[in-house]
Amino acid sequence: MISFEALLTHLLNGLAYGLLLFLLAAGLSLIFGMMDVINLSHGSFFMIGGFIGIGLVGVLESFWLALLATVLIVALLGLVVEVALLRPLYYRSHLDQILLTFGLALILEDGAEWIWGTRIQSLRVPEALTGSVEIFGAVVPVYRLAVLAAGVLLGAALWYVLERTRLGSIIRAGVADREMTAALGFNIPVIFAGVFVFGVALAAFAGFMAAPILGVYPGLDFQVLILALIIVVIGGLGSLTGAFWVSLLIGVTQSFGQAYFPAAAAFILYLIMAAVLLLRPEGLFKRRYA
Amino acid sequence: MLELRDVHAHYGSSHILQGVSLRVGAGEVVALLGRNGVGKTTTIRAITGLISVSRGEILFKDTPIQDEPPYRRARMGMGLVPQGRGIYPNLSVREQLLLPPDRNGRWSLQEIYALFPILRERRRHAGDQLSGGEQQMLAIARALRSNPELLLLDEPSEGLAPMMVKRVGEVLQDIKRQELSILLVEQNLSLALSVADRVYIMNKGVIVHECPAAELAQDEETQHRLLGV
Ligand SMILES: Nc1ncnc2c1ncn2[C@@H]1O[C@H](COP(=O)(O)OP(=O)(O)OP(=O)(O)O)[C@@H](O)[C@H]1O
Ligand SMILES: [Mg+2]
Repeated sequence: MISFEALLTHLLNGLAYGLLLFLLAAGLSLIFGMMDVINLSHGSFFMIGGFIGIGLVGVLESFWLALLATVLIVALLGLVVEVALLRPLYYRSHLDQILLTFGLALILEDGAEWIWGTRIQSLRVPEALTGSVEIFGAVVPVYRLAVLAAGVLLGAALWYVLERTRLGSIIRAGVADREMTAALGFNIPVIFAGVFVFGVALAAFAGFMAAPILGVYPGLDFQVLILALIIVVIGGLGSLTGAFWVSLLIGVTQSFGQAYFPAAAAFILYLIMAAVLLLRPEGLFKRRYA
Repeated sequence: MLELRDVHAHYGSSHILQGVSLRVGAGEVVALLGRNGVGKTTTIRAITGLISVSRGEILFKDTPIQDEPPYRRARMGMGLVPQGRGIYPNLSVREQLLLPPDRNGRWSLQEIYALFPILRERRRHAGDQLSGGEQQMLAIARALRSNPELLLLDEPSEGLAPMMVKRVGEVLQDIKRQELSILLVEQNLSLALSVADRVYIMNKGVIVHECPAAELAQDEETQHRLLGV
């Protein structure tokens, strides 16, 4: 018999996982919405965030400092990628962009394997967040709750900035109509770079936070990339709200699926995606930021 | 204010602008007329920098700007009301009015709402919830918000009901009194002639006729020959 406590544990775990996926998918969706670029190397920044994070925790001996440093370093890497590789491709076809970003993802995965090896590496939860608490009888690791809180807070902050600030209106304007936004006086390449780097930083943050839960290994990049792509497609390309709800749905589906029907867990996801694409090709949510 | 000297531009391999030369003086309202597809919008895009100029020169306030990116031209004082209005479907009216970078001048939000009361009423509505006429008012108002010295309008009456066309004419008269320089592309000849001081007529990528607006109003032969009216 499946107990209520076990269900609650899987639910909370699934939500935490879903929020990590949301942070990844949010960047993917923003970058796609704004630049019309499908960034297939997005999952690589998640993985690299995990690897660099593990290394830096060893060096800096502080989880929090390492988190900050990791996000900054990976963001810088994102800036280099944007300026050197992506920028020349903005006005090229989707196929060119897919080939380039896919190639970059393969290189980064091989590079990671070369530097860090193929072994699954894990990150210890920081002292302050160790242990578990009991919620309605269910035992939930404190760290999962922290991930939940961080995901909700970041998601809310993202929503606030996009919907309630002038910077947000500039970004939404750029998503809707680049040329008009340029003609109104905005430097589109700089805004693009900013959005790209921000998306990469979110991916690195998510990758770091996920390291104690998922572990880090070459291959993780494509595994999360595919989930993020599914989220963005089902949620509606360019809809952040859509990405949010679908991330939670997928996180929870995965968590229950792995617990109760491990053989079918991945299959269920693809089934959902196929059904959505057939019934609502534009995704569940209309594209309108956020 | 604005001067184009022998401006050429291409879309891919098609040579669209084949040596356009025109001038808009300070405080002057100039209409650019011509049949469908002769290159009027392309001329506006060349001025704003949305298409690059392959030959020739564009001077804005006596500075060559043909190599400046669009955003810098806008910040120098160019306002654009594009063909199709360029309204953001996903931003509210108020957000769109607050979007243009601050260049000090008289067009505060209050001033805009006084000229366009309908926009105050609709300020919380998203762009795609507005009627065509309201969208056109918003497009003009948004361009004014950056306090431009030169206003570029590309077919502001296109697709509007006669009542709204009349309203656009009144608004343009109002704006004209603010000593703004205006380059107006229009297919509606009577609207163009009612606000313009001078007109250029374009055909196949070059200017083929130039005269005071009052003169074209009398010259039915030219109207017929170059505009098909
Ligand atoms: N993006 C484009 N790619 C290729 N050709 C284009 C493009 N846009 C316009 N053209 C061509 O350039 C020519 C000039 O177009 P333009 O839009 O400047 O005309 P227009 O005078 O503004 O016409 P209208 O009155 O219909 O707005 C047309 O023959 C058009 O087919
Ligand atoms: Mg046109």
